[in-house]
Amino acid sequence: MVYDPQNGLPASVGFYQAKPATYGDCPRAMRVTAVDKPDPSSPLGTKGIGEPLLGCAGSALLCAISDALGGHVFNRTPVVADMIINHVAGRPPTHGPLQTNCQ
Amino acid sequence: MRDMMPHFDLYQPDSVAAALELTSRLDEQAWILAGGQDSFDWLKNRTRRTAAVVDLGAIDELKGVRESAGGGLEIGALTTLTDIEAHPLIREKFELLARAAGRVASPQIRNAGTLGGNLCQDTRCWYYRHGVDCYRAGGNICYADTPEGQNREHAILGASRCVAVSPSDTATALTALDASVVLRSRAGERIVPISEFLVGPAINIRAMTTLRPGEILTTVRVPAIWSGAMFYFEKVADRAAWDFALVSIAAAFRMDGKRVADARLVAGAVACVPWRLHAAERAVVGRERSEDSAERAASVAVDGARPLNYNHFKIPLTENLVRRAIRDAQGA
Ligand SMILES: Cc1cc2nc3c(=O)[nH]c(=O)nc-3n(C[C@H](O)[C@H](O)[C@H](O)COP(=O)(O)OP(=O)(O)OC[C@H]3O[C@@H](n4cnc5c(N)ncnc54)[C@H](O)[C@@H]3O)c2cc1C
Ligand code: SF4
Repeated sequence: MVYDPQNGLPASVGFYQAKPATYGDCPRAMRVTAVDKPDPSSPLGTKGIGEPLLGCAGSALLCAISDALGGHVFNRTPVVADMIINHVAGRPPTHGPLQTNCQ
Repeated sequence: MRDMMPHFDLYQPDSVAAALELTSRLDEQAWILAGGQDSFDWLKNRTRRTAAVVDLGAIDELKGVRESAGGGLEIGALTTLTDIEAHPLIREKFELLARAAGRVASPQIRNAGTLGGNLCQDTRCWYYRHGVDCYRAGGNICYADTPEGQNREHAILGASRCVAVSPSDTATALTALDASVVLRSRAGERIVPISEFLVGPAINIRAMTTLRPGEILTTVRVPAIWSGAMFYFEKVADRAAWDFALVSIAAAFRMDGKRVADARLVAGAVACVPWRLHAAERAVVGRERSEDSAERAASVAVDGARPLNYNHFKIPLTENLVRRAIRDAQGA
């Protein structure tokens, strides 16, 4: 989601600007496995799904990016492809360290 | 987004003569409609209004692909992008164009969208599409070129107050193929090279083409020059489909033995028009296509680029695409 903070304008209006992933962007095969461990602090051993997983997905992705780039380059989210391209090309980052409004 | 079609008078002529009669009678009041994939956006969002629409969809003489006397092709402006992608003559002679057409938007949009409309479509600068009063809309400010401007998709080359980029994939390919367009009005016919048909903000900040009111683009002419050459097309976008280019490259190489006799390297979405990378072309002509010549060409490809706050990544991206085009171009 992109926003022009100076003018208060939202850029991501409509599907072609908000850009949800399409069929062509998903892997052909996805492997799913469960971590077979009950949660000791809930009465039935159940765990929350949905929201809690977002943090896990973010950290898994950041770890994968760090692994690919050979170091902890981005200690932040979101990371967008532009940042990786800039980094690999040896160019200075264009996004501020705590900036969250990234296209 | 309001998503309701406003009222207008709809005309559906069945010949170019009748359409020209209408456009001249209605003068600047008439909105020319082809596949509607750009037009409907403006009209439904109500950022633009028109009293009358002249729909070219029923004019059969504007559809189809013919071989011209010199071995080039004449493509009717109303030919759909799906037909361009699949047409045997285009695939045989100018595969570059077929590939570029096949990377436009999504299958549904290619079924409706036409070649003429793809060339004439307006820029996708999101501020401008939002309906703000920027330079291109007649105002006196550019919203994208500001310290907080969200300008990731904007130009790194050839900007002049406005930093919008050309959205058309086929324009990039047709520039590499030295194509020209036939423009007809009641006064007669003009044949304009595509490099003069598409204009940047230094020439006209309000329009992306030199189409005059009352004129209709009838035909795209692709000369025989690059027929059967080695081609490369690649488009980088955020999604595999249904997305405009962040940077694209259209390349053509004519070989003389192992050496490049002539070359075209054209980058899309880096400037307001498809941008010929003249220095990179010079760097490869007379040499073999190799890692070495690819490197030389890439290193001069975007000299003079002036990135905005958020589009620095377009520089390495363009350089990489030049490398790949030289290395990986393929013959028919
Ligand atoms: C979600 C989305 C994604 C897209 N992605 C891409 C993309 O990745 N790459 C790309 O290249 N395009 C893309 N497009 C743009 C789309 O391909 C073009 O808008 C379409 O090709 C326009 O063709 P049309 O026939 O629908 O033209 P219309 O929308 O009918 O017309 C477009 C403009 O051209 C004028 N015009 C059309 N034909 C003529 C003519 N013969 N003579 C004179 N004036 C004429 C019209 O007056 C209008 O101003 C996308 C569009 C959408 C909606
Ligand atoms: S880049 Fe051009 S179209 Fe976009 S806001 Fe600036 S002047 Fe308007």
